[in-house]
Amino acid sequence: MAEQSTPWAIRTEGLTKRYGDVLALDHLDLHVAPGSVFGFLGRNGAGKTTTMRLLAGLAHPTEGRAWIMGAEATDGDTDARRLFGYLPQNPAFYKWMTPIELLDYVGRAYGLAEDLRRRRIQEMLALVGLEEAAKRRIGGFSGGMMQRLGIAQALIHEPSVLLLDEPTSALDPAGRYEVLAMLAELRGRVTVFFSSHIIADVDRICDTIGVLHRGRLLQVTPREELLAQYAVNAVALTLDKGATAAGAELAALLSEQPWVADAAWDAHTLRVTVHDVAVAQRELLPLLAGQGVALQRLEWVRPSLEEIFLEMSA
Amino acid sequence: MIIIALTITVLILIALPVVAATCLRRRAWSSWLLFLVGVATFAGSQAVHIPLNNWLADIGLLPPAGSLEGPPLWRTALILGLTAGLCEELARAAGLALLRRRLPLQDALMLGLGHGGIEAMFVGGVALAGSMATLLALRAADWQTLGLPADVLAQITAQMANVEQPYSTLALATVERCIAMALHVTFSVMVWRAFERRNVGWLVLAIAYHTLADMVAVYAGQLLASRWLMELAFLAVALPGILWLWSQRHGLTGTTESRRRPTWRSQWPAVAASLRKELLQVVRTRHLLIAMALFLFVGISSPLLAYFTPLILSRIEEMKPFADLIPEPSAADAMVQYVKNLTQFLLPGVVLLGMGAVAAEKERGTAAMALSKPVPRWGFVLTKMAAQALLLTAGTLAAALCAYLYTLVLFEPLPLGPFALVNLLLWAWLLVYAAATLLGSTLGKSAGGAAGIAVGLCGALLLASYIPRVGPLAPGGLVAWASAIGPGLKGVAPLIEGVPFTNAAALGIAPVLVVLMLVGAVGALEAQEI
Repeated sequence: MAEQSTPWAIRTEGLTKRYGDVLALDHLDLHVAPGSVFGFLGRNGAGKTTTMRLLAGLAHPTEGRAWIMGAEATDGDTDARRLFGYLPQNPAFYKWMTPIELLDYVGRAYGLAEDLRRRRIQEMLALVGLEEAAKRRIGGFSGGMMQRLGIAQALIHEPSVLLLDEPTSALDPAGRYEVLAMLAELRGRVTVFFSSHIIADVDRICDTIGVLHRGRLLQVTPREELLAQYAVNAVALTLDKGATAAGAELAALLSEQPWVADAAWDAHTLRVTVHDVAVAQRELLPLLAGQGVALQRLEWVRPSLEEIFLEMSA
Repeated sequence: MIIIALTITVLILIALPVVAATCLRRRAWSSWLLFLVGVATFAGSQAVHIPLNNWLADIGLLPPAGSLEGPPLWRTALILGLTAGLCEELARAAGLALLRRRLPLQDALMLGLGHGGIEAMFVGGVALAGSMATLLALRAADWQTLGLPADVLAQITAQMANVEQPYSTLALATVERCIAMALHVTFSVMVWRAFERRNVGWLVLAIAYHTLADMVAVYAGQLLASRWLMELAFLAVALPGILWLWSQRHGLTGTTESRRRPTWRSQWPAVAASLRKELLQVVRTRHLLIAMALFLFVGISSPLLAYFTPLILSRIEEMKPFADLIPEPSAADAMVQYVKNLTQFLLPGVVLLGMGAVAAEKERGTAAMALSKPVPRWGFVLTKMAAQALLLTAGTLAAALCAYLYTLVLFEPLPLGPFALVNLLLWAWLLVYAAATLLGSTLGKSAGGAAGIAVGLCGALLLASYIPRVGPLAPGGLVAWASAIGPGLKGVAPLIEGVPFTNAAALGIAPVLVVLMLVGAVGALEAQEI
């Protein structure tokens, strides 16, 4: 069913998938804003690929529905498939085809006119760096080349939404860098729904992060908000070489302050946990300056996305 | 001309239920598997209905099959109607009960189309084709001198009236099947309503209405002289049901929710792309080359074997005393050899070439790639069948051309009409096996599993030829007909015990089997997770 009006690029409502006794996806209610790069994080078996396959119409939900750009994707509506491009986790193509033939086939399936199709084929081959291999049989391609070709076929019809299931898993570091840069460039124009268990990739390009664990959506938050939410009230002070002798003394002094919860010295770094970040931000530097301590570095401690993810999915 | 009209009518009757079901799915989605459930309920009902009527005839409650002589007409009409109503409606109820889930209205309609559709295909299409073709063949022969029993001659004489007015007969058969199909859909919705409202009264009503409709049909057949009036009477009894059915249309899910359905225009580019890819694949994966090599081998080797085998045998020392007994080879032998070779060599070829069509794509992941595009699943299956059909058509034409030319050089020109018929029969036979292989390939989760299922299905079709009474209708009946044409080349028509041998019913069954297997393949793929 087409929604009357929607601000969401992707919306799911109670989306559930059960394989026998196994609950692969448990009432997923998800809203992805248009133009965002959405990172869908989860351990292996969390339900990321199931969600992707449900959105792409390849699997049937046990319960619930999903919409892409307002068109229902879970009822076998082939028109909804024009609105997204999909790259499966292990992309597979007809080995007897060349990349040009494959992109031509996909372009025809999307109903692209001949002129537009030819132009888009060339653009896509250039985008994914497969121009030189354009007339080679796909059967001889490496995993990385298949992944690039997969991205090209997913983008050929200029979709509004791009569903990418582990798009960087088969790429070498250089390939990963290029693909992530390419996806980041799509921000604002295309909604990228990007599943991965490689947290560094998600951290690098995603503006919104959803964490899926054992089929349940634990959280959907803008990346910065998530990091802030899990930020600990601690500051790490690296003292100048000449000031390290005063480290232990400084820790004791800080421990006496009412806004300090704990202060610990470990040879080079003083780690100070505070009760109130705002007060600490105001009081800490004047106090240190008053003691004549020379600082090399002061950093408010933020956990990495990896630490947050591990904590959430523990 | 009559043959063309008959062919068109049969094809219309076979296509009609599928077209109606397709239109229904455009309006409100329903699985093709429900259509097959309807087919199964019809088959199940007849498995009880026919023996029941035979038993009632044996104990004297009904007249012998094919006759209305004996018991009073009202009693015959009532019993015939009641047995049909009970068997068919209870079978429908059993089908719905076995599904064990709450179904929307469109599923009941789909089930009704399957039930009434298969009846239209078999009774309307196949039986019509069989009887008309036999009568046409008899008209060409001097059937009065065939020494047939008097009652058979009387029946033939009565039925010849239909052949004398073939176009009205065909038109009436089409109209009658349309009315019957609408009635079946009405009965299905009534039985569905019994489940939906948990009220057995609807089931009783369906049985009563079915009984009434069949009684009217029996009475009209006896009391009305004009066949048009008979159909009018049938329409009169069906009309209240059809109007009631029409009033239920607002209950279709999708109408109320304004569910968006893809249009032909929006799906066509994806289907065309899929067909283009299939044809390209046939060429690039060398399937075309392999198939053409097989067909050409059959086309060339058959006349050569027919020509040289007697020569070789006569040169063998041990055979020399019997040399005079070895008959002179003829064009008819070439044709017989052609039928044998084609069926022996091409069947394994068709299975081997088609068994991975869907299963291998699912296994490799290319199906997921294709089906995440706007390629509908029905398009994915049907374009594969279309490519197979084109391959078999090109191959059969090539084999036929070679066989014709070699026979011309070695013997004499083959009569074009019978030879074309032989090729049509063999082509239809191959298509049935191609469809069975495609169904197996769709049902299998892996290429290996699909191969097993495809071989099993093809084996079942081959074995079906040996089932008493049903056997001649199996695809093997096509080969039997084709094999009979060769020896009869010098006569007017192939003759078996003095009666012209045709098996148009088997030719009519072939497209029905193809359609049912494709419906099964599409239904299965739509239900599968890729």
